[in-house]
Amino acid sequence: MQASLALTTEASLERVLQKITEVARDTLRARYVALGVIDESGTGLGQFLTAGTAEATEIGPAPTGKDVLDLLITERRPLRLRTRAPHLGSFLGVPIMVRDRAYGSLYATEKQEAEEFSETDELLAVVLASQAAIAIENARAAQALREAQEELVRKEKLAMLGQLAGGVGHELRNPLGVIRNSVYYLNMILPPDEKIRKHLGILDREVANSDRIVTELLDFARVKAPVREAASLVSIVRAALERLSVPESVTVQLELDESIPAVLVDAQQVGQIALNFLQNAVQAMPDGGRVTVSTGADRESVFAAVADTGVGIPPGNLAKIFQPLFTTKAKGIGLGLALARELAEANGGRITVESTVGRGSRFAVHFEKAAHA
Amino acid sequence: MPSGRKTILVVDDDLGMADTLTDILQANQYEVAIAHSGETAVSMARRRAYDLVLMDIQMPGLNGVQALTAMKAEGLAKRVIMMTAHTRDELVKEAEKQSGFPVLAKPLDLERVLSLASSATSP
Repeated sequence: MQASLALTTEASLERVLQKITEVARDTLRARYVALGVIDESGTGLGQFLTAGTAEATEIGPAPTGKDVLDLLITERRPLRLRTRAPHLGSFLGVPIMVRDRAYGSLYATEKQEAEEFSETDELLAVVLASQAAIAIENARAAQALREAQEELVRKEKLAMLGQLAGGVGHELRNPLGVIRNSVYYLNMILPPDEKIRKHLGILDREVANSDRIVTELLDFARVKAPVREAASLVSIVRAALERLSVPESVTVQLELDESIPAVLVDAQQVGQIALNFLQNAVQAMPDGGRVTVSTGADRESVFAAVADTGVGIPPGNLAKIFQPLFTTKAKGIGLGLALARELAEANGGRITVESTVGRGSRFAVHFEKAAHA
Repeated sequence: MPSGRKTILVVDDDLGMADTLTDILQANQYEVAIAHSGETAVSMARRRAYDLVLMDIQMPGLNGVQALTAMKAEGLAKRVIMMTAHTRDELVKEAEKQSGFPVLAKPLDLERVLSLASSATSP
């Protein structure tokens, strides 16, 4: 049982719980022992381990964590019964608890060579259950620690990338400025030759394009602390639509629920998220298609969503699209969605995405309803 | 100023920026002098009164805001327009407060530079 004190992975937890289940069966001299762990959301059974009878063949399918298991957990005390139910007979169940937190239950049936389980059996079961509880608690703490560490590494990476992006961005603005000045000067002094004008025009446009990329880098480099005020997602989305250049082959369909409650956000930052969704949607449909822009609300949150009928995102890429520098576009540096996620989180929101290859994608940003708006 | 032209002092440590701005302003009939540092700009302003100073904010040594402060303290600069590649720098707010003009973002919108130069040098 020493292993229960030093757990790091789900797999090793499973092994320890299995061992506890087997030890319980031997020491309690039961025909069948089961150990059920409620999942972290508390809504169902996370793990279910058995020793003895194959539960699937002899006592039916694995329990759902309701009925007997549920009773042990809600009552939070051992239960010792003698029943006439087939394959049950004598029954001993104990909750798996640390302090006042219940993680699941351990139960044994069909005491061998006796009519029912004894008080000593009950004490043994309580001790075994507490070992299981400590193992579960350790595993969950280790998991939380791992997640916190990963989050920290992600934030550190983002911060470093931000510094680099900021430095490079600013440094590029001076040479771009010099090129633009030269173009302006040449436009003033050169004869109005058509070819010359064309090429100067190209230079000027490309300077503007480069400056846009620099602006994207700088936006990413410094996500300012949001200035959150009651705002309407509908107005934010409408303003973003005004800034979007829509090719002729793309139609925009609005499904805006004007009655949704206000949200407490930085309208400028959320506008940036919306514009990013819209630009991605247009870029996902090189041969044209339909962008559907919607707003709506459910019980706790309000959302704005942008759906396209474009190329879609392969399942393997879905987890990566929010990583900085991940891009599948020929043009672009892959900061748009990374920035969108940063902005959403900074404003207390979250982004969800659904996508089917060949049919399109839907990006939505959700915010809690403003309490006093 | 025998030519009677308006005079502009361009201050930027980026040689290409100073050089190209000078050509544009000269082509628009301004008389232009160049300084590549805040220190040089202050000492040039001591020797001669310019109608307008067009100055970068981020420069090694005396930065644009410090140079502007020094010029104002000696009553040297009548009109100063600042420019920057770092539009979100803390110095930008300070520059706008001290100069009384909006800070121009690089790459510069040159039509705007010329129109500001024209109105800033008008009596």
